[in-house]
Amino acid sequence: MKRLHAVTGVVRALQYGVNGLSVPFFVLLVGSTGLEAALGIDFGGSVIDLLFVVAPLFGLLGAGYGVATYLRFEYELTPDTFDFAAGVVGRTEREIPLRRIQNVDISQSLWHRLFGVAVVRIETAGGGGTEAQLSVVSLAEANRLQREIRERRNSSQRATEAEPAAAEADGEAPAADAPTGASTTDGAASTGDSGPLEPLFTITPIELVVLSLTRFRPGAIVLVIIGLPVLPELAGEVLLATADPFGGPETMALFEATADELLVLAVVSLPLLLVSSYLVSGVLSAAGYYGFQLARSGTDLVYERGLVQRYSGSIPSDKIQTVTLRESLPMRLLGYAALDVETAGYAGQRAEQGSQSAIPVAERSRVVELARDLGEFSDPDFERPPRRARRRYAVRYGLVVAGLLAVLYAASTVVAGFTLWYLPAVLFLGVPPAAHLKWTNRGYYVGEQTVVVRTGFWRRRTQVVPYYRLQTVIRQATVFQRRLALASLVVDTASSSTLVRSTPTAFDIDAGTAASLQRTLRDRLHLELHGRERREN
Amino acid sequence: MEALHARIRIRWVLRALIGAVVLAGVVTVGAVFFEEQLVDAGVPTFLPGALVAALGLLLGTAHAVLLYRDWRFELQDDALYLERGVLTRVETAVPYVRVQHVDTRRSPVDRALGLSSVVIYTAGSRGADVTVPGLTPERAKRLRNELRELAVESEPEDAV
Repeated sequence: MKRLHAVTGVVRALQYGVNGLSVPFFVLLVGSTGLEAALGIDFGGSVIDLLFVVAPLFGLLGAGYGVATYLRFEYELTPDTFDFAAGVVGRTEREIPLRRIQNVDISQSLWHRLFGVAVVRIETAGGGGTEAQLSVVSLAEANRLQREIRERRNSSQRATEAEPAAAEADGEAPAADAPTGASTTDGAASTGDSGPLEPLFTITPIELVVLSLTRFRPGAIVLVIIGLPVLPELAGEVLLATADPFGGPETMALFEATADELLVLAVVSLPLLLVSSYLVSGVLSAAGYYGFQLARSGTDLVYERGLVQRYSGSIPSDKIQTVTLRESLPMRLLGYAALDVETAGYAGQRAEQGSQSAIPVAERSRVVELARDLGEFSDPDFERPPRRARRRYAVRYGLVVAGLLAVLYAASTVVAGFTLWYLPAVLFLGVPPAAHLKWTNRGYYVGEQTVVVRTGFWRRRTQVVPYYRLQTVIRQATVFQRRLALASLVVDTASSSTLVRSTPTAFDIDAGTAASLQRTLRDRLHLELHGRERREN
Repeated sequence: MEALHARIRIRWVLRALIGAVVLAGVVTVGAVFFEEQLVDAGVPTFLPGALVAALGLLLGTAHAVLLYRDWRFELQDDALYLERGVLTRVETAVPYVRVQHVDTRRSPVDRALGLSSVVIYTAGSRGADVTVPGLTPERAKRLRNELRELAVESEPEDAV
């Protein structure tokens, strides 16, 4: 059994020590003030004196507990499992079969890099969180774990695949066969047969620029909003200066401004917020994907990225559930695309970052080529939803605009000085093109081994689902869809990132087609599974 | 195609009743808060709450009746097939190969009504658990056993 890196002990001691130190402060100070107020007892200076004794004691206790958590955490990589035991009071002992491991991720924040250590996370498909987290081990050890888990899993898989063949051959040459089988697995383990890294993709500076221009992280908006109060003066000045040409108020004294001036201010502040978020998001993306590299090692994909914080991960390609080609509008205009691969590994909180970019951004042809390499990807001619679906979108958007107008009209009757309620009526002009674009970007394709669905104009996503990954097939139709004889077909897989992102869905296809397609997918799943069985035997 | 047991409607109406009472309670608290204005307008304080409760119960009952009318399930050759839904109609096919485990479940209300539910779990991300409510306990047990056998027969394949 191995321990974590020694620096863990120091960090934990500090962490828990500070926690321990702060507990008496909180309890004694709050408690004594409370008692003084409630009972009228005056403790005077005795509380402070007591603190000087109790606080260091708790600090030491905390530090001791911190060290104990380090001493009581042990792990080991055996030939076919990863084991660990953890916990000071309540003990957890866990064995994770290597062939069940989905992802092995290594991440390094800035202080990790200063000490040359890293956090390792091991994910399986089960459970509600990360199955094993080693925080922290040395970077060399992290890389060793990642590599050895990969190699041992591959060789154990090859061994099980070889078994039936060995059993068949048994009758003919029982004596000769067994050593051969053993030597192949040994050979695999010793030479590290999953072998040298075969580089697949390295991000170029141009692609990094395209990435930061085209990938908008919604998280950046939150960051900007939180950041605003830090620079209130500057933010206010910029906002007023921009609003001025459109008839905005002259000062930030909002109570004195008229309703129209406030409207202008609101309308102007939104794009300002978006622009500044966009800049922040660009910087974050560039830093996050700096030096992105994807390589293949045996059947696994290995990536690494990051300027300040470093991340690296390994994804077994035989555990990929779905492959998604992502092309946002700016990416399409520039001829670029991105590729995500999804496994069943991430659960709970981490599902948000659960899908990994196999390629954050690259020229479309290159992405398609790599996607084809990874699985049965095709870039097919899509079957579009029927034309009546387009009418449905037009009606939907029209109703949204009408609703907005109704709300603003109602507001104008109540609020004095607010007369521009009809302004959003311009949006009606956008309804037909918006409906058309939504319609043209949706489609599905039933291929030899995969079903492909596509949706989205601003952020177009083409999801490729192999038939043998299907879990359930759900056909659903709302009242409005039924009126137009339309239905949506949801193709569910075990991919964990669909918890937060969208499950692959063919939207608004003809109801009859949807029914027969549901049948087809079920049949294909069976054909695939039986075919695989035959191939394996 | 098999329908659910008729008594499931009682459970659904009860559920609607609880929802309606809670909503009515909230409305009544609001009404008490604005009591003076309501009295000025000539509205008894408890009228809004009562109306909300009545409306909620009416809609809930209609929903329960319609939901029961269209709920169907069937054990087909390769998959469990379910049809349900009033406003949004959902038809789900759960291939037997994908069944991870099957539960029967009886809530206190279920037990009082002599009903039971079967819950089917898959590894899928959406609709990972599919519930067939409103079965007699014997039928639920039989369905669970049938599903288990079908799942075993259809050769578990490593899905994840």
